[in-house]
Amino acid sequence: MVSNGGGGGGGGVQAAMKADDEVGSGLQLTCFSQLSDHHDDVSLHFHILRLHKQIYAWIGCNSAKFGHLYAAAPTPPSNTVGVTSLIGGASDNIGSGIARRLVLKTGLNVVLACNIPKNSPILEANAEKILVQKLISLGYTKPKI
Amino acid sequence: MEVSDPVFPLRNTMLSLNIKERKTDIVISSYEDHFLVIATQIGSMGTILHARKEEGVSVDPTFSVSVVFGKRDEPMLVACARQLIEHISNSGSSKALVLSLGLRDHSTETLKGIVSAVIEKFAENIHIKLVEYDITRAAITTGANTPDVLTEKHLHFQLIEQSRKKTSKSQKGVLYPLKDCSLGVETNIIEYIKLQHGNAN
Repeated sequence: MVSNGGGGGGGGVQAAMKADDEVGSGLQLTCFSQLSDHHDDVSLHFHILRLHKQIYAWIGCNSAKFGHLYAAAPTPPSNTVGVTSLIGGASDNIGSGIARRLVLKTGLNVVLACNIPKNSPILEANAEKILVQKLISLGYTKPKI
Repeated sequence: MEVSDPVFPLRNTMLSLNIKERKTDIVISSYEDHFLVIATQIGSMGTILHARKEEGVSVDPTFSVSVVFGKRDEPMLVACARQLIEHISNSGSSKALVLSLGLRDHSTETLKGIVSAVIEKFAENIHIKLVEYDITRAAITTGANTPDVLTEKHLHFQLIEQSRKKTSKSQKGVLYPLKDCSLGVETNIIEYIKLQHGNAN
């Protein structure tokens, strides 16, 4: 299933066309854009691909540059999450924290690409919040116990 | 299936095919500076490779391909990435490639099937395609969104209906992405138009 849907929330939503066709079993692609809640001149773009056992997500800040790529996965039996940078970045950069928290919320392996600039904690937190809300609405997150 | 949206800055293509009787899902996404190709038979991204063209002085391009996640001892995966980045480069694009292969087997037949399916999709979906090399018309809109058509003789391309807004405040104007044109040429054409227009505001 492929869906392009506008996200909710203040700051204006870029509505996109909806496609409800089945394209391959188990793959769900969602793309949407939204203005940042705190910066009216910043557009955040989100690209989410749900695979059977994994989630790939990209967060774009104003541009369509790929940015840095991170991978994160749960490390059973403990509750911790392992995270590493794959392309660009380092393990303590912006996207790595988001990737780690996505694993905690979804329980799945996460591969995240992100081009949010450094030293933008408010923007980073806003982008993560929008992304998590979308994942919840798509049903990708673990139910809270 | 092409997933496109006039506002969203990425172009996505999804397809599903059978390779050696195994269902293979392929997703191709076109970023500003990268192509992302995901081919999976196992429900996850599998091994992730990064390939790019090296800047060099020699006429023949060289490429750097590395495994950034997953199996590092499978030369066929590296060869697959190498073929795709060479195709991207030969078509005029300087974008790098992030290739993700989650496959049940790494046989030549499987990887050839993936390479040919991806190359065919690249061509079909105008990610990379050179139609003609004779310009007859280009258009650039300036701040007031009024088209200002100019005619040049050197390259020919078609304008597509969607626009991509420049976000930099110092560069007002809307540039029309180009259809059926090599992506490397697209960048050059845009720069050429801006040069011809001077500093259009």
